[in-house]
Amino acid sequence: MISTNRMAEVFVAVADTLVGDFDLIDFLHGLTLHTTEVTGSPAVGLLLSDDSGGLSHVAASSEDAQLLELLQLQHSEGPCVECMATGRPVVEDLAAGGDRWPNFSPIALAAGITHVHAFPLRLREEVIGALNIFASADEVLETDDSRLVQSLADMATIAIVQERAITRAETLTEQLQFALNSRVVIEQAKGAVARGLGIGVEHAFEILRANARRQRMKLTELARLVVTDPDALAKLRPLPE
Amino acid sequence: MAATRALPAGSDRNADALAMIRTVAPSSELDGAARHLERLCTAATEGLGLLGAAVRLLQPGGTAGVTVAARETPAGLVDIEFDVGEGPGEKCYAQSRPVLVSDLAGRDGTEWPGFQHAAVEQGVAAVFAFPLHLGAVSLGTLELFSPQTGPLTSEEVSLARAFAEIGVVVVLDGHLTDSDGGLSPGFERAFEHRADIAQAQGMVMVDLGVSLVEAISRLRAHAFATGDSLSDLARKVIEGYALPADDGRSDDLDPIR
Repeated sequence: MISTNRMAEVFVAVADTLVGDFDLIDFLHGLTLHTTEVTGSPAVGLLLSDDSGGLSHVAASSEDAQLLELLQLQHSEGPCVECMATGRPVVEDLAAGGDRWPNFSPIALAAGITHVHAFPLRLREEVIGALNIFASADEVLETDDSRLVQSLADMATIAIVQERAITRAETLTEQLQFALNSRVVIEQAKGAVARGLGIGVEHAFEILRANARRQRMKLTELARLVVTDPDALAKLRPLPE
Repeated sequence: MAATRALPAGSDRNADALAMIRTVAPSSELDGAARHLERLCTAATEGLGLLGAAVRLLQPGGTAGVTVAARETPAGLVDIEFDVGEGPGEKCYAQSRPVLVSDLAGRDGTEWPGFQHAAVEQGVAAVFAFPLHLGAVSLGTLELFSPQTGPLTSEEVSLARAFAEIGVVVVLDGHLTDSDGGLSPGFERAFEHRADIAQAQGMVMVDLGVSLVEAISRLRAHAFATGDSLSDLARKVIEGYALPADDGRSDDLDPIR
């Protein structure tokens, strides 16, 4: 059961980052981290619709969560894909042994995931993405928890709409495309930082985030700089101890 | 975790767009990438019912560049943004996002008064600019000039994006052409979007000390030369292998440590 007090703190923390000139990818990544924290789940991921029926990965709490998202995209099956198609939350006990997702389930189970939840990102009549929670046996969400997590999904939608005032359908298209390409920029930068510093990609992402904060830059802007300006890569500082 | 081959999102749309491009006969007056970009613009114009379409390839900063336009594009539209010094394409390139202006004569178009005036005079009612980009690599824009006001449908948006995406591959992979100048049958394989491919691009950039765009081309060239999928090659790179420093097309992968 999620603590209501803890949830209130998370909402305040999330709302605080939702003001001014925020970086969408960084915000959504933070949201997935908050979601792991309040649910106790080891992995949380977020997919966005690319506005033409396709889905793309946009944020994840860890590289493992990212792999679970990509796995769903590869096979076009899984909680997130289903949630997007129906617009409704999806809850499934993988350990029960159903054959709902023959490709996704065995691999998720092997990774220690027994329960999956997906919550839609809804904007008016549209479903623009889904928030996925990958849980192990002792962290199953209760009904009341689901309502709280849905509200975190709603926060993600607000952020996407908010980053640029979306007043017409076309702006949403522009915004989704931008967000999806930003994700590619960040993955390119993660690769460059990982090789440049001889570290893993997950660590590389943390270094990018920490340096963006230190330099008061948007995460995506720093990522872009790192792959276009060799000096920017050389100037990155390791994480503080 | 298993690394099976990914079917890229919207792959059908890419196939549709590619099929449309293949129906357009290549011009004998153009070579290489320009020849295919002209076909692409012509196919987009026909497929989307436009007045014309143009691909602008730009240098960082968005200043100098070249334009390739569909054959039917009115002459005054081809270089309109260079001529008037502003327009939605400029914004699209600078911000790396589509700029969709469904009523150019209305409020939507007033951001660029010079462009608005000149384009409306040429019969343009709506203009849609899509970036030719791949992550941090920005190559230029695909601009679509429509004679009617109104937004693109989501089908049209995905088709337009597919054309832009093909444009990126044409520019990055000049070698993907047949000896007779056609697009090679292996062309479809260039569309793979996975986080690990993007990560590998950043890694190759550092390993070889080349630009990101060069790293992307090297990865693709190597994948085509070896018959690996981009995904499989990307995984090898992430696991610690570096592409050969010479031409990126050798069959051997060199361990970096």
